Amino acid sequence: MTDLPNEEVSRQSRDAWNRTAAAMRSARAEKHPGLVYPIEVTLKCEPRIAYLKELIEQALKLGHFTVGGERVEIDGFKIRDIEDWTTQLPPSAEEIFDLLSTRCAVQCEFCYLRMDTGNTVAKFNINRKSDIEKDVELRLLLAETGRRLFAPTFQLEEVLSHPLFFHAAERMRKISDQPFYLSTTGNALDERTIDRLEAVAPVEIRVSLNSSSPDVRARIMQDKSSTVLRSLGIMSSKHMRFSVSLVAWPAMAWSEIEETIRFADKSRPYAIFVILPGFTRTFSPQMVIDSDVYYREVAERIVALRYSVRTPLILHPRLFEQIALGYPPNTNLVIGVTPDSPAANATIRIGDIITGMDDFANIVSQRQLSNLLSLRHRSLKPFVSIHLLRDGEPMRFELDVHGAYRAGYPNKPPFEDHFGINLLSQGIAISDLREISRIASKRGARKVAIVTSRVVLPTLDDLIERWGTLLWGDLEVVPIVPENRFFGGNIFLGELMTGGDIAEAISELHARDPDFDLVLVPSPAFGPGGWWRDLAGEPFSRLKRRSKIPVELLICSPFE
Amino acid sequence: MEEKNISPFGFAIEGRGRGSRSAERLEDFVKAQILGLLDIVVLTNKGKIVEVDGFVWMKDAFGRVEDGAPKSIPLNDDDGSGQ
Repeated sequence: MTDLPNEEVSRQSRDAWNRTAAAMRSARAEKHPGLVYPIEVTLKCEPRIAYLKELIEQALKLGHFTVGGERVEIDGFKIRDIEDWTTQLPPSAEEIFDLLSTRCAVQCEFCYLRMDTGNTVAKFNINRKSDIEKDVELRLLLAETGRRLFAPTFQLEEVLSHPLFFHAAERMRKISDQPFYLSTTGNALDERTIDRLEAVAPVEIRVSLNSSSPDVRARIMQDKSSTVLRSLGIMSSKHMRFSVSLVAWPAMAWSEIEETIRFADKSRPYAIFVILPGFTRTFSPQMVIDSDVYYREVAERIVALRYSVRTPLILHPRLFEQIALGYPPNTNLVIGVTPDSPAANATIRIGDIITGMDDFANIVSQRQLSNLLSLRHRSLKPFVSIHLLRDGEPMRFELDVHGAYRAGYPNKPPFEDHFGINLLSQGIAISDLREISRIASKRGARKVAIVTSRVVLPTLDDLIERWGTLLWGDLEVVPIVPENRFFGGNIFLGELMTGGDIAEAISELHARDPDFDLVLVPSPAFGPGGWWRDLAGEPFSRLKRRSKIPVELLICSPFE
Repeated sequence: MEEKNISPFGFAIEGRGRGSRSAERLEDFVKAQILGLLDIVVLTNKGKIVEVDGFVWMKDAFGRVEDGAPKSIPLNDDDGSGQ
């Protein structure tokens, strides 16, 4: 990593933006009158729409429709009665905010839209402003009567810029006391907007700051406004819950990244997230950086910087830090403590290794600690006892939870918080490993492969070594890491794999070793909701059909 | 990737026939399917609603052209379940 911006990355990004802009223009040119959901955007949440399309297309292959005996052309359909498609589900403000996220005032070089492969289920929302407003109004009315409609997966931009945002937020606040989670570039975060956000609390804001330098913001984000730079101090003075994120973009010098971190640190967010940049195969035919080398350097610099800022500095993806710096896997390592939190007041610090909490003196996994901290946080008990190792010495700390809340610490329930303790990872639940054994036993399998990603691999290997014999006896369980060919480039997260990527890995595995008799696929790759489809819209059942080895889904939360 | 593991979708004739039913029974089945579909959706062309009232088989589909003319299925049903 040099202290000079990588200008080639900026040049590639400009080319990528030109391609994206052309795709957007083309999509707008094709649009039909009225509100349109492209089939793809409903696939993950409502495949019955795709089924109806298939039925109509089948009929049109075998005949034609008529009106008064005359042939008529058919090229689409509309839902006749919305009541057929609503479900009784808790209201989701995020679903409505997503529909309003159709514009952005900045043009970041690292924007995910510049790297879109074009074949995911997320599409541009090309509907007219008035049609989007009608759509949102309909969903608000449904939410107010306890119902929800399928949520299309449009590509997301900035929500706070939309004039309807506060109208929607105020109405949703009347029917839900759950926090609103908003991600914003901060251009709209002036004092009046922050006041209005405070009025619809609880709200958690992730400010995508990226740079605190007006010059860099103009160069990398095409942004000439300084609203976001003032916003952090205002939110801090109001004790609002917010975090800051920045992409460690190679076209920024390290000194510029560090300056931004130090700037954000002054406003005391609950955390600063430093995101490692991803490049899909469509961003550039050639990889513009050596990712492994670059990521490792960023990780090393972030870890070194942690000791000279107050705010927790968290690398994303979190587990990359473990790989890059060779930490022992499955350790409850504290990587940051939020200022003014119960943990900070009790002098818990970076490098401590937590071993127990209250009556749980011997915590066996990262997920167990994470779950216990979450439960205790929600219980609103006034004191919590943390057992830890500091430089190898066992120690015990009493956390005065209510004392911190009384002093203005904003991260109390209903927000998720661990008393200000930020751990390297949430890890993998032992119950998920037990599920491997249950499925294998049901299927009579003796040699099982489990799909994972290269960031999770060391953690999973370690858990299998420590717990495998106890959990599943002589069953052989081997992790496999599919290559992400769908997105290509340097994309490696498990949640971004598709059924096609996994099917290819299974074929290769079968060719190498035909003795495997079961493959387990963690469910996050097939998305939330009950329909189990991947980012390309393909159902898990298709992977089952095309796989050379029997495949089952392992229902679990993301391993991270 | 090729889907090599999919077994071919089978089709055969089972049984010898049990009476004197004609193809109208199948026609009714197709009609009920299309009417069921049109109960859920309304068809459109370039975004505009098209209230269809019939369906005509293509001449070359399934040999449904016994008398040389394509056979039509009326969709404006008496029971009002159509469009």
